[in-house]
Parts: sequence; C-alpha cells; structure tokens
Amino acid sequence: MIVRRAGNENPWRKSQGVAVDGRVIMGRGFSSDKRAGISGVNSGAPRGVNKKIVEGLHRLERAVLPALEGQTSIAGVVKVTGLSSVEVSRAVQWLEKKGLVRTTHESVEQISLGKIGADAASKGLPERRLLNILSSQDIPMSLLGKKSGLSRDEANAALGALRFLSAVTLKKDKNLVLSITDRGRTILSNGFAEELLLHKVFPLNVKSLSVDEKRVYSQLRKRKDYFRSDVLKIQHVFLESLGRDILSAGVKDDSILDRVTTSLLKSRGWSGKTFRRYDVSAGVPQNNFGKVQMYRAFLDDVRQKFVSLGFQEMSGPIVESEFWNMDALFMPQFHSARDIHDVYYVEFPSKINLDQSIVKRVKQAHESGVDGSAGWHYSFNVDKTCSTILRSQGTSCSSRILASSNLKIPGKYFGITRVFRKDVIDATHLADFNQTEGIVIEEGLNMRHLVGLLKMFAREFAGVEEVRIVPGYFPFTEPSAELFAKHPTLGWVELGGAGIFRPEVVSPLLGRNVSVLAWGLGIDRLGMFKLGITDIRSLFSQDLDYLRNSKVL
Amino acid sequence: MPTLMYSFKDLSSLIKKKISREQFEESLKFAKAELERFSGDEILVKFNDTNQPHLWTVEGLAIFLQGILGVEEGIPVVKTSGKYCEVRVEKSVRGIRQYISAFKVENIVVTEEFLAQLIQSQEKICDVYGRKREKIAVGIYPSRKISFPVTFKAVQPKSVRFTPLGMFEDLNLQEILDNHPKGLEYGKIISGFKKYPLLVDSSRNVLSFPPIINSSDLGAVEPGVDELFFEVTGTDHQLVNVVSSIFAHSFSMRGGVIIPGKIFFEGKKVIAPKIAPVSFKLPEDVIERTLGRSFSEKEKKDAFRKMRLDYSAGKVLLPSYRADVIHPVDLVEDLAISAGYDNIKPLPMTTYTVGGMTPLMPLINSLRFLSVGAGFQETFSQLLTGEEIMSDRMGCPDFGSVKVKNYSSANYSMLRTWIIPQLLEILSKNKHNVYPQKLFEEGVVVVRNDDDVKEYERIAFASSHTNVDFTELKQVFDFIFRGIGVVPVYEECEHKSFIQGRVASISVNGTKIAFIGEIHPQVLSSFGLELSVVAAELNITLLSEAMNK
Repeated sequence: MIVRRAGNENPWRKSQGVAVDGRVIMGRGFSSDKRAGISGVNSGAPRGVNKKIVEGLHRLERAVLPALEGQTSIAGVVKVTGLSSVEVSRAVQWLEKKGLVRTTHESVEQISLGKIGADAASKGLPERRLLNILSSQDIPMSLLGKKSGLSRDEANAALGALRFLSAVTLKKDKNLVLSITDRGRTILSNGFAEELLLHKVFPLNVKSLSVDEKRVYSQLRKRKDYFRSDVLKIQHVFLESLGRDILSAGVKDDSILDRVTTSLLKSRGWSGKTFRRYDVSAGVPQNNFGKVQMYRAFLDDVRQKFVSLGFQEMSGPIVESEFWNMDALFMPQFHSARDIHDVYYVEFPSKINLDQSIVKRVKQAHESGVDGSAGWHYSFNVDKTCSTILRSQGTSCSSRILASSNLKIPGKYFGITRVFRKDVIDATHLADFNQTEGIVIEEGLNMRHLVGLLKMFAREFAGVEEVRIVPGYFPFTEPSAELFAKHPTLGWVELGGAGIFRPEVVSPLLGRNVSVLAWGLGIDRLGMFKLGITDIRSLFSQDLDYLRNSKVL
Repeated sequence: MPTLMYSFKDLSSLIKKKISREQFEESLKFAKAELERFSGDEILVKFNDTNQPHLWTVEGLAIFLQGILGVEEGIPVVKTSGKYCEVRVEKSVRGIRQYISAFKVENIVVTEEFLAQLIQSQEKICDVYGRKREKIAVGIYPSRKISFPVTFKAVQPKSVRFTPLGMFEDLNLQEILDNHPKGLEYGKIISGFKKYPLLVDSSRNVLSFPPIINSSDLGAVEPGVDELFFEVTGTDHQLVNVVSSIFAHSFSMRGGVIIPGKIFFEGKKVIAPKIAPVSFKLPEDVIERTLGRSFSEKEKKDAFRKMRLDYSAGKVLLPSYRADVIHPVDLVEDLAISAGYDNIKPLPMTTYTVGGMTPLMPLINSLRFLSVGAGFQETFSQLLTGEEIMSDRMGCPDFGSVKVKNYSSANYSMLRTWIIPQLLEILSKNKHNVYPQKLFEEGVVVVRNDDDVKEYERIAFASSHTNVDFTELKQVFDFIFRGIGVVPVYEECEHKSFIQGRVASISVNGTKIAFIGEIHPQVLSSFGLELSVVAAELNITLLSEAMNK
C-alpha cells in the first residue's frame, strides 16, 4: 500500500504571496481585516506586544527601520543602509504589514533630453548657430540652408523664433536678405533662456522647475525630440508611531537569532537568546512533490478493503477469448451484447487455443442444457468461441477461477479489471474503463446472503446505509439483482449488479453445481463520487495541474 | 437493451386502471425495466432483460402490469374464433427460411396510436430478439385485400416482380435487394441462397418478400383498417412461435379476435398461433436452495398468478410466449420478484476466508512507493491507444502490438506496447505547467510475437526540466533498485527513440528488465516538446521472475 500525503483542504488554493526567508510578500487581495488587526496593535499596544514584534523583525527590517528616521524614499534608504533596493522594498512591505510604517505613492513627471534636445544642449540652439553666422555676414534667404548648415526644419524654426524676438530683419534688395539686429547682438551675448533649461541636469522633476523655466519648457517641448517625459510612481515611507516606539526601544538586538547554523550549534550561541519570530500563518509558494494518482489511490483503497473482507484478488488476460468472456458465462452466441458494435475484436491472433474438454461441456450446456436446464437450442459454434477479443467484462476472471484448480470452496474472490467496450467517448462513457467483479462460492448460499453481501458492499465502499435491491437481468445469473444506493444529492444511484450464477455456468466449469454469488460494482462511478468528479475522463486526466492538486484521500 | 416509447394514456387504458407516475415507475421494476423519460403523455421505458420480448409491445407490458397492479392475474386469455385461414408452405423454403406462423385478426380497430405501437414493437422485436430479422421477421397486412389461401415459397430472384412498399415501380427480387433501402440493409440474410422466400395469395398477388419488404398493394396498413393478416417467418422455430404468440396477445388485448392459421407443410398441418400454456416443473428444493425460504402452495399460486403465470401442484403454467424459462431457477426468480426483493431478509456471511492480493502486487506497490519518494507524480492512462503515438512519433518500429479489427478511431485502435510514449504525450499537454515535471505510471502493456500475446506489468518514468540528464534518472533507478534489494547491470544499447550513446539496457540476474536514456530530439520535436526528457521503463513481471531466480 502506498503511503499518501493528505491534500490541502482546498486543492485549488494558490499561495497568497511569495515567501522570502520565511516571510511573505503579500500579493494583492490579502485580507484587509488582518491589517486592521495590526493597526489595532498600533494604538496603545501593550509592551508585551512590542516585544513580540521586535523579536519577529527580520535582519532587513532591523536595518531599514532606523534609516527611515531621516529618509522617506527607497532610494534614500538604499544609500544609507547599503542594501539593494529589492531588499529595502521587501523590508518596507513587511514593516507596513506589521503597522510600523505607512507608505504613500506619488506620481511624478520626470523629463529628460531627447536626441535633438541633447544635440542642441551640446552644439547650441539652431537660433544661436544662425545668429552666430549673421553676426559676421548677411545671408540671402535663398542660401539660408546652405550657409547656416541647418536642416530645412531647424532653419525655419530658428528663423521663426529669431523674428519673434526681433533679433533679425528681412531686407528686400534684389533678393530677400537676412541680417542681424542690435537686439540680436544683445541676445547673442546675454544667451537664450532655452539654453539655461537645456543645460540643467537631467532627468529632472517637472515640479522643480521655476515659473519661467516651465514656460520655456512648454515652448521647447513642442519641438520634435527635444524632451522625453515619463510618469514615475514614487513611494514614500513614513514611520508610524508604533515604528517610532519600536525604534526607541532599540532594534539592534544581538540576542535575536535568525538561522540555526552549525556554528551556532557548536558554540551553543543560542543559549539565553531568542530566535526571530516568524509569521507562521503566512502563505508559502506552492511546490510539487511525488504523489500517487488520485484514482489509483482510490483503487488501492478498494483493493485493501476487499482483502480485509477476506476476498482473494484474481486476475486474467485482457486479450481474451469469447469463450471465457461470454460462452462460459452462458451468454448465447446470438446474444446482442456480443455484437461487433459492442465488443472489440482482435486482428491478430484472431483465435485463441482452448482446453477442448471444457469447451465441450459448455457447448452442451448451450445446446441442450445441463443440470435440469433445457439449454438455448442452437448449434454452438466452436470456432467462434475461440475468437480473440478485448475483455468486455471482468466476469471473465470469475469464469476462469471457477474452472481453475486453484479454486477454494468456500472462497471469496474479487478482481479490479480493465475492460473494453465499443462506445462513443463522452463525460459518462469510456471505451476503456475499470470494473470490480467477484464471486463468493460456498455450499448453501442463497439470495438472502446475496442481499446481505450487497448491503455490506454499499456500506463499506460507498458509506451508504440506505440501499435498494431491485430485479435485474444478466445472462449468467438467475435470480439477478441491481443495487441502488441513496446519494445525498443525486438520489438513487446504481452501484452495481449481482445474482446467483446459473447452474449452466457453474456445472460445466466446476463439474457440479455449487452456490456462487456473483457481483459487479461500477467502480469508476464510485471513484467519481469519492473524488467529486463529474466527467469520467478526469479519472485518467492528463492535466498535470489537476493531478498535482487533486485529493488522494 | 431495447427502449420503447408509449403514450401513458394508451397504456393506462389498456391496463384498465388509473395509476400515478410513481406507481408506474415502481411496478416497472417487476418487469426489470426502468423509466427513462416521462414528459407529458410520452413515456420512454428501457427493458433490461433481452429474453422477454413479450414486454416490448405496449399491450404485453399492459398485460404484465395488470398482474402487478392487481387488475387481472393468471394466464392472459386470447380470443379466438372457430374459423381458420389457410397458409400453404412449399418445400422450396426448406433450408432457406422454412418456419412460418400466421393468422388473421378480425374485429380490430386500427387507430394511429395502435399502428405506431405496432410498427415500434415489430421493429424492436425483429431487431433485438430476431437478430436484425435473421431469426424472425414479421409482416402485417390489411387482410380484406388478400384472397386465401396464402402460399409461402421460394422462387428464382428474377422470376417475380412487384412494387415494394416505399417505391412506385415493379422490381424483381434481385433488384429489390440491390436497390431498396431495406434490401440493402437486410439482403445479406438471404442473398446467399439461389432462391428467395415469397408470400403470395391465391390470386398470385405478392404479399411480401420476407424478411425484406411488404408489397405496396397488399402490405400497406393504414388507420381505419378493421381486419389484419399477421405472419412471422424465420429460421428458428421456437422464436417464430414466441413472436406469433406475442402479437396474438397484443391483438387480443386491443379487442381483436384471432382467426387461427392452418399451416400446411410437407403433409403436416399445424394450427397457429400456439397459445396453449406450457407447463414447467418447479421442485420445492430449488426454491428453498435459491431463496433461503419456503413458500406455501397458496403463496406460490398467488405469486405466480401476479406475474401472469399460474401454478398447480409443483408445476408452473407459462403463457406460450415465455420461452425464456429454461431452468427451474428462472421460475424461482419470477417467484422472488413477485414476492418482492424488498422483502428478502438479509443473512450475513459467516464463513472465514483468507483475503489476499495478486502475487505481483507487493512488488508493484513497493516500486510505486519508491517512485513517489523519488519525487515523481503518478499518472493513469488508457490502455487503448494508436500507432501514431506508440511508434510513429517515437521514431521506432511497432514492437508487436495487439490491434482491434473494429475500431472507430485510430487513436483507440491498439493496446499500448509501452508506457513512455503516453508519458511524453502527457508532457506535451502540460508545457504551460510548472517544471520540473517528473511522471511515472505503472500498468499493463501488451506485446505480441506472432500468435503469442504477453501481458506485462510495467513501470515507466519521464523527467523533464532545463537541466535534466541521464544521471538524474539513473540516480532514481539506483535508489529504487536499492529499495528492493536488486543489483542492476547497465549496458549501452540501441533504441531509436533515444540519443545514441545515452541509452542503456538494465539487466538483473542476466535478464534484461529495463531501459533508460535521454529521448532523441527528433522524438521530442514530434511531441512538440521544448525541454529535454529522460525516460525509463521497467518490466515488473520479468523483474519478479529474475528476482526469484
């Protein structure tokens, strides 16, 4: 028997955060009432609670908390503590969860220079470059591009800006000629307001600009690729009063231990000290270990149960003859369940060798009857009985054990068998499924024992007391019965079929007629109930996520 | 298991008692039948016993339920008249379809509902009980058009022409087999014979071409008809008589009077239908032995009469349609059903027996136990699979497989010859799931060498993640072999599904019992896998034998 791990109560539950060194960074959706509980600690917390909090502080928390006295930004804490920003962020999250700090988030527009903007900052604005040339010579408009070395767009923008500042004039001679004004010369020596902005250190926060700078920025940003602007979320961290209390009590406590290390054990350095307290209720990330398949685990239990009830397991071939599967069970060769539409016939080998002495006895039972029976009155086809099929019912194991020299009387037998029937595969049908079948053989057993047996099965395998046994039909049993059990939500559900083997089955195989109670339980359906499955195909699921999360108890 | 549809109003009026749905559903259990649907007036009933065709007519079901509901008990009576109709059977049908039972029905009112029921019963009985008309086939005619006597004979396929039902022109018998839908469906029953069966009346008009089709002249029954001719032909004498009796009871239940047929065959004269009850001995000890209690004579008589049988002095009387009784235990079941399964007092089993599993199970479970410990997830697959997965995608030959002849999908056309391909298939369907993925499966594989079929218990492993390699799985195998106290010998071997030089066979006490290796990239790509896979498969049956050497 395989030892099995108990599953989660809710197998589909995902862990609620990512654990780091035994702590958890909580994801979104973490219950807010837990926070409320912690802020409750915040207001007028007794000293004992503070001590517990201090003991539970992680190495990172101990480093970050003091740094927050002078800083509110992560970057600032990083600088002071020398920790990485990821470490600081984690510590802040843990501290916030405990109510020691509070965080706010601010959106900040940050600008930096674009490619052309950076060009203008280093080479000068196009209007300065144009004005520089004009300070030594006039330029005919037709030669503007060539003389200034500016692109057509730059030249036009520069010209527009300079005319707006009255730094240049256009004179009409033969052609249009551009020349510098006095005001232009003053500007050239005093400098452009735009250049002051371009020479600042980027990236910079838009909020830090003066009113004049803002005006210049709003003009310049219209030019293509002068500036890039990003919206940043900046986190600010503030100490809560509980955090200040804890800080004033001191967090740099050497007596708090973290890991149990070999050197710690060797030095007995743990003696008289406390270990950092974990949040033991925090979720942990899901991990997958070795596990039995849930339906096989169920079948293991079923097998174990039968053995404990005194049943011996039997087995038989999957590639079976029609003889053991049907003829030995007194199913006439013209029976509709033997149709090509119901049973899988095997290509090679198409025939199976049989013990002809048993075949002869079964043939007689079919044709003219045995043991007080009139038989089926037809010509039994010895060739057909050898035909190879895929076992369509586990009862073939029962017919084999009856003819076996290993049979013990009295005896109880069961088989968990794979059987095959042609069927359209859907949520309730498989062509390849499991059956549980068996017999109880003993002189003097009758219908009253059968009813007792079926009620026991319902109790042991389905945990049901309320059962009904109604007339049924199987070719190999007479009387035949069907077992129904009251399901709490589905109502009456068929659990299986049963009966007393006909003398025509027992006599030819055993040589005499002894009472044989025979039964079959729809084990796939029982498994579906037990595992809470509504689609039979899930019993053979290929979904690893499903298998990893399924219950195996 | 036939399913039939009835009108609840029609059924109730035949039973002659108003019953509730619950009462009806409960009494169906006595007929080993289940109510599948009840909507409006329409009811759908499934019959589990394939040997009781007398319940597959609405009238037959009504007869039975009358007993259960206490309306009428004992053997049902069939109204017959002193008149006869004649049927002559010619020698030519011998060996082809020599049995016939036939009679006339007078004083009958054929309503639309009755006609629909008649067609349904005829189809179900001929299909399920008559093995798709091979053993029996039924024909029903408006008898006023027929001039008696009727002759049943076999004729040359092309010698007779008539218009079959559903067509508008004359065809000869061969043309009917080759062209008529019913000819195509049922033709194979008689196509092997030189002559085909035919029913004609004294004016040489064709009634039908059994078991294929009626003539459209004489064989079309319509609502309003007040006289019928019924015949059933077949290759099984007993079944022919049973079906004849079933329909005689149906017509009688509908108020019809049976005009028996005088059947002349090879100088003998037989009266049809056979409706005289049959007597069957029921020894007292069989009852007690089977049911664990005794019944008084009166209890027996009452119980059997309730089941529409009768009983007197150790003998049960059966209506002629009850051919399913072939052993006294069949009667004991009727007795038990009548007395009520609910009233059976259970007894515990008191004999001590020793339980146990199959001999291989402890080894199987140890291996599974160790595999789980090694971190592997167990899977459970279907044994039916296809060549594509087993060999095409694995880049290896078929190891010798058992294939089924009548498969409906190539994906379910053979039994698995090994398990690794199914593990790769599972891996291919879980590429979105968390890695590492380590799978194992234990179960049967079937390998065939000519006519020799071997069923082995095997266990297979597949491990897939970024850094997986041969060593990892070999460590697992070493761990498992230590756990069962076995010393394996590894030898490089050839296997097309694995990378050459990275696949080994494993022997125990000189028997090769397993192989292990890194799956070939070509195989991985045929499964659409993007991570390396190492896999191994161990034959538990052979391992067990090797361990016992």
